[in-house]
Amino acid sequence: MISNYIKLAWRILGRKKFFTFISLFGISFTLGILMVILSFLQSELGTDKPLTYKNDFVYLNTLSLKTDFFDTIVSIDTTFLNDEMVLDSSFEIKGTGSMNWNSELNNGIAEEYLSDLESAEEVSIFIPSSEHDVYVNGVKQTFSALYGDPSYWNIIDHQMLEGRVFDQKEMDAVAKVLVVSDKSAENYFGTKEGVLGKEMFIDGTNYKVIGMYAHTGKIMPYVSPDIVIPYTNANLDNQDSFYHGFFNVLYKKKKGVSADKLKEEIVYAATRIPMDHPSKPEGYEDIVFRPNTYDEDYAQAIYYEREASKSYSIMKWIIISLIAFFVILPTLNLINLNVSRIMDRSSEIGVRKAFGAHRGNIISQFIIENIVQTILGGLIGFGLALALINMINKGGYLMNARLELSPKFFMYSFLVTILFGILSGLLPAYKMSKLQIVNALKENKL
Amino acid sequence: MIKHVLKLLWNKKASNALMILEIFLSFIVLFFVLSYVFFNLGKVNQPLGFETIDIWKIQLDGVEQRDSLEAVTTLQNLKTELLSMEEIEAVSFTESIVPFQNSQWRTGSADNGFQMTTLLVPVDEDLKKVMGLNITEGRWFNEDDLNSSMKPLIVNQEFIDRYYPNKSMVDSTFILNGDRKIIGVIDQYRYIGEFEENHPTVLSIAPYFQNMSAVLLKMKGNTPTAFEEKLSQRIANTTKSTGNVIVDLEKERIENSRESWVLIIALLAICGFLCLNVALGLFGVLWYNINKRKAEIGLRQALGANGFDITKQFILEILVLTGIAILIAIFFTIQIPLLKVTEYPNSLFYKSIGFSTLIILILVTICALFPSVQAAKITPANSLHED
Amino acid sequence: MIKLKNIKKVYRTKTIETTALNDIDLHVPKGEFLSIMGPSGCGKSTLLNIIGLLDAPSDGNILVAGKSIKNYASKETSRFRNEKLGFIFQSFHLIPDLSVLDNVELPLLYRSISSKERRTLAEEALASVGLANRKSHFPSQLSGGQKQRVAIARAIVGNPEIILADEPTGNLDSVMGDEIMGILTKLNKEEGTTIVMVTHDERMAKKTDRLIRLYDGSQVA
Repeated sequence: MISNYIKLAWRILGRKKFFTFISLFGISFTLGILMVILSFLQSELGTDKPLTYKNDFVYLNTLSLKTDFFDTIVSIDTTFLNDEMVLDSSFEIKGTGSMNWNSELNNGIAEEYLSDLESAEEVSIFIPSSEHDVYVNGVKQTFSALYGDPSYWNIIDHQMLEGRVFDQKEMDAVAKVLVVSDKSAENYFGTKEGVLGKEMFIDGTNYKVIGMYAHTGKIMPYVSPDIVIPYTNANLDNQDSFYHGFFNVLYKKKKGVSADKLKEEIVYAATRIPMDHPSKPEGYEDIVFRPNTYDEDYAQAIYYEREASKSYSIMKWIIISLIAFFVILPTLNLINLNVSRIMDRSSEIGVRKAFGAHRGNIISQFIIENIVQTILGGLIGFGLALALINMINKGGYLMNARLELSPKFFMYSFLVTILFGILSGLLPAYKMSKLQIVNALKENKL
Repeated sequence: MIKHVLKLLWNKKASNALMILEIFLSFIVLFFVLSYVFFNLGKVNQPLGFETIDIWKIQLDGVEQRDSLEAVTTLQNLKTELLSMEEIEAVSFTESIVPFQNSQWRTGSADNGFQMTTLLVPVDEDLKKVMGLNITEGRWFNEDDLNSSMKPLIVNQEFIDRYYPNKSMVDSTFILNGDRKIIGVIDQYRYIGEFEENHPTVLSIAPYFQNMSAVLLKMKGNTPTAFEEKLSQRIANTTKSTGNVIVDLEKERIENSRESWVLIIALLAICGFLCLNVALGLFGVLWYNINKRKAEIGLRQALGANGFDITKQFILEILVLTGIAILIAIFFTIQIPLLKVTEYPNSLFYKSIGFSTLIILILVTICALFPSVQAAKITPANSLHED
Repeated sequence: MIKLKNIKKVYRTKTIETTALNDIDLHVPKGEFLSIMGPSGCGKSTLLNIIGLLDAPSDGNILVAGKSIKNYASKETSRFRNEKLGFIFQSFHLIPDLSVLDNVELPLLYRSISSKERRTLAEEALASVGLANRKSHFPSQLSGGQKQRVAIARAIVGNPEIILADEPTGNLDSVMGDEIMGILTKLNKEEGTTIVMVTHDERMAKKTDRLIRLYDGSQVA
């Protein structure tokens, strides 16, 4: 039965070429763009390597020194440094207000008070991105270095291509070693082959390459650094205070524990930090931690709200409504077109009904026909998506993100295609199935 | 005629409702995309207020954190060193607030009797020379300003327009973290980026070599990029620090705006596709409908309608349909400026409504024209006898 | 086989009522070849549609192949039509996008039988109307008579008890019309299929077992 419908759908597509073209144009473009969006979401927020454990991440990038005020005067003083709020002392006119000094963490605080939490399976402390100019044959290249620890490799699941990562012993011994991405190796050495054991001159120091991992272009700098160096090598003399510094903390939570539980433990850890260190800036009374999941942190990086969960829900709604708006028009268009097209075939429906087809038969026939058409459009759209993805990857148009084509992406694309076919076929099919046989057979007469 | 057309449309309201919905949604999409694009292009079209060509920026690596006396000496040496190079014409030292860095200092107070919010930029007296800032009134900073009892400020025109409109404020004082005196006005200094709005901005002279973390250099024209490596070496030698980063400001300007341009172009492309898609769909539906109504057309012609009447009737039908959809859409979208839902200027939304209406009407007319002309060619003989 | 009692069909609009059928009583025994005649607009097609369960009467009782019909849109009615009835139309109503064989197969699609069996049955039906060699043609490639023969094959492929034919020879010249009548008569005689045929053509009507005439919705003979 289905094969008959498919055969029929194919012939009808071929017979009305102009209308097939109009339909396919809409379908393929819509699905193509949707696939690019899917690929972006899957690459950035999916769980493909190196974000295998992404759903277990809890991320802490800020230590906030805070003081609450009552009966305040109006005054605003906010400083953003590299897009991150550093100091925020916005006061409200009435009621309470607060003054915050936000900055990244000192590694001492992170090691002492934040690295031994009950719900955390792994903890990594690192400087997420430190840019270094490197001159290769007189041409400047900028490398983004992550100063990390051995745990980093257990949380961010980079695909190792060659060699190994550094261990705690090398950390403690301040070994001059680094692990490089294949892309950066090629940029620096001109080749990916045989770079193990060679030296890279970064920030005035020669580091020996001990391992190489596959480059993945992700927007979050700590997920795809160019090089990774043990953080004991970093110049830490310039950290602001006992409290503030250059470091972020990334947790991988234990299986079966909720992220909220781990967040609570991090928030609670703030109370154990002494507030009497001489380097503490004056006037601040409390420490506040605002740990985030990966998705929340991601949303906050794109759209800043002090509470990352708010950023996340805002981003979510923006994306959902944009996609909805984008899909609804072509769907309506296709529905309109299908309704007109199907009307042409009312006598066929009359005959089918006279010979015993019931409404379900008619509905499924037209939906299958529409799905055939959508799959065809989906294939063209897929080609379009590949071209677009290739263009985006080459030009780095999406904040230098590299869009991946993973099996999950194929699966989702296929699902979206079928869904689109059903959605745009349902109304016309339903309308058709309601047709009275007697009237259907009489068509084409005034 | 109109009455007749309205009657025809009403009798087929179910299928026409879908068409109206489609045109309505197209209008809404167009409206938002155009508003977004007009708003951003409006920002880009304003001058930045400073030069970017042949200007290099150096991010110093942690010099500012050192013991202040040592830092001051180091930076003083660095300045002498930089000025001694013949490729460099002028040097300005600043704090972390430099162009395209996404760093900003926002400050404000209500001490002047109204709520004032402004961007604050600490600068040195050389910034004007390096960046080519344009003083429209008053004067630029000089060395004595550092020691004057009332801290001098230079404000941008937007600051004047917003807080002291139609007044000459040079030599006036106001309160902003203490008493301040305005000594000059610049047209603008939109250092955050081309897509940033023109905020009220205040320049304040900062004491030399304290908390300095960036250097802006005015280079001689046609300085080869290879000079960067040499420069980097010299800076490293002087500051005893290797992590300095040199950036060409023009390149950074392009890089900084790229994401916004990508978004604008992507939105326009997608919007264009949606319009084309809707237009083609509309065309298809009309073509079908007219074919389906061949008998009706034949009958009308048999009853004495000529080709022009037929074309007119079909175009009128679709235009009435479109008109209804546009009216509904305008009713909704016009609430945004009327109710002042956003802080954006009303003229922006009126402009978008106008353009959306125009685009949709043009598209629809084109789509209706061809099938309607086809319809007029139908003769009573072949249409009434068709089976 | 078919029993109609006091069948009435009234078309209503807001302002006028048109009576298409008025108190029709009709009994068609099993195996009869009945023809219905009458001028245009006398209600003969309406009557055929009611017998074929394609249209609901406004009033009256109807019993077809031992079944009384209540809900005309139900799945059950669809199935009943599929298994017991076969239709032939004046304008053939072949689906232009399906091949001859696929057209003939159509009624079998709505039964749960294998595609192989469907194919065999459809080929048999085509052979019985003498078109076995045209099975992969499309309707547009056939003459009128051939189209109607395909339509007959489609009507008989499901082995129905009753065939309802609405002016099957109306669009054909007399030679082809005779050919079609021949096939129908043979079907009636050899297979014992009950046939109800609406026609304009006195000559064709005379070849059937019984003839009734309608005038303005009422039976006159």
